[in-house]
Amino acid sequence: MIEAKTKQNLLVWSLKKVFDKKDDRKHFKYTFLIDSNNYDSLIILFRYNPKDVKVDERLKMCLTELAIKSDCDAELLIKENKELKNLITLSIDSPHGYLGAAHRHNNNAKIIINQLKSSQGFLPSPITKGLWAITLSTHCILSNKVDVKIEVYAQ
Amino acid sequence: MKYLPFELHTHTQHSDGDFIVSELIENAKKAGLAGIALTDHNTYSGYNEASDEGKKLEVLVIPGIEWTTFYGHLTVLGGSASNDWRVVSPATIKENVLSARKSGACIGVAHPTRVGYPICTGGWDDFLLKPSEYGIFTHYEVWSYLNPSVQHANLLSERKYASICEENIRLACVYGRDWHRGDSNVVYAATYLGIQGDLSIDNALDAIRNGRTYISCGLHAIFVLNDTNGVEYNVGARVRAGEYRFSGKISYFSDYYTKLNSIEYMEISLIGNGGNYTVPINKDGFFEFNLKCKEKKYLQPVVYGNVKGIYSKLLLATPYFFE
Ligand SMILES: [Zn+2]
Ligand SMILES: [Zn+2]
Repeated sequence: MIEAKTKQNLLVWSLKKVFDKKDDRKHFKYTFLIDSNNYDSLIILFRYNPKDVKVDERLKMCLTELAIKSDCDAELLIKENKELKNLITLSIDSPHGYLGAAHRHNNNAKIIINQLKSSQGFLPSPITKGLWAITLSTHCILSNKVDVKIEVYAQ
Repeated sequence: MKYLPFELHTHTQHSDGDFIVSELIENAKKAGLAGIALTDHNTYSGYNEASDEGKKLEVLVIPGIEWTTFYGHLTVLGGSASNDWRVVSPATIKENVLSARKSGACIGVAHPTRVGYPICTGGWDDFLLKPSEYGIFTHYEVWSYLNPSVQHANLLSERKYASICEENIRLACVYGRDWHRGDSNVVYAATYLGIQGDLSIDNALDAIRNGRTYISCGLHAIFVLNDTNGVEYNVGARVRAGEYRFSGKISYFSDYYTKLNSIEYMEISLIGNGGNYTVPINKDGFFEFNLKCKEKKYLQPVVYGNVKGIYSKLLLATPYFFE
């Protein structure tokens, strides 16, 4: 369970997905319909796991290649990066355009879109009826499997 | 014209910065900056608050965004917000950049040589452009992050910038602190913009578009390039091949910064495929010498000296281009 939901919240869209390495560095756009102008807010619960990835032999190779490309010391780069991170960001488009993104390493986020004040990273917006879109951008998928879960509630 | 210090690459909690918006503006004020560009990753949501806070403290805030793509990071300053970072790819980079330019934005490559994927996706410029193709941009982050003058990655960027200049392409030389948090007691630089007229967003963008910029650790500079008729040119100017007199004055930006980082200027050079001149800067900060440059060549002003006891470049300007 991501979070206990209150009774007034209507689940308008949800997603459960597993990303793997072939999904790395791609955009995945999902649309969902808001059917009335009677909502004040959208609440988006976004979670993915795992976050941290242990640097194994394969990633050591990867870091060695990176060091060669960046003209820096491979041993040092490997020493300084015992763990790497999966990074998926979520961006939102209202029927009227781009609202913003949550570009940070938090992998358990609650994003609120509201006419007066939205969560940091997103412009305030009325919850107008029409097609909304959530785009997941996989900046870095290093694990064999990354579980992603999204729930969108209208309030 | 006044050259005023700016920080053109900043983040807040609207993306992955630690700063709340007001802290960023307060820190900019404390550092003596005339302005900043707010460039949160893939969002403009902090701008209105930053602009309001900036007005209170007299710090100009340029609206911006860091297009944080899988193939490189680009700082987009000014212009309309309708351009979408998610469509940016090596296959379409030219049209993506030109569409942002058309909307009035300045757009340039951020930290072109930072370690990239899988540590920082897009940290390295992977747009696969040839040096001759960089004319689509307005600026290039020649220096990035802290201790800019001694960082190996910046040496790589300086070389890439030189290869772009060799193609007779003028990109404004800019610095990006990539400011995420209030780190104190660190060596950083600033981008000085040659502002014509009032201090405004349009005039700041105009300086970048026309290459009236230099980047420096704690030094303020006046550069004067005079042709034989006495006509004066700014840094970044395109001028005729021929004979010139180059003069100017270097001064310390603030006593506090100078003492904290033991800044000491020593020599000034003009370097590039158009020649190599070096003269000492006198104790009052003045220098002058004559030069001659052939067509399709460039010469970049560079000031050398000490920072925290290490001899290095202290200032780089957008070159003069000779036609
Ligand atoms: Zn960046
Ligand atoms: Zn940045």
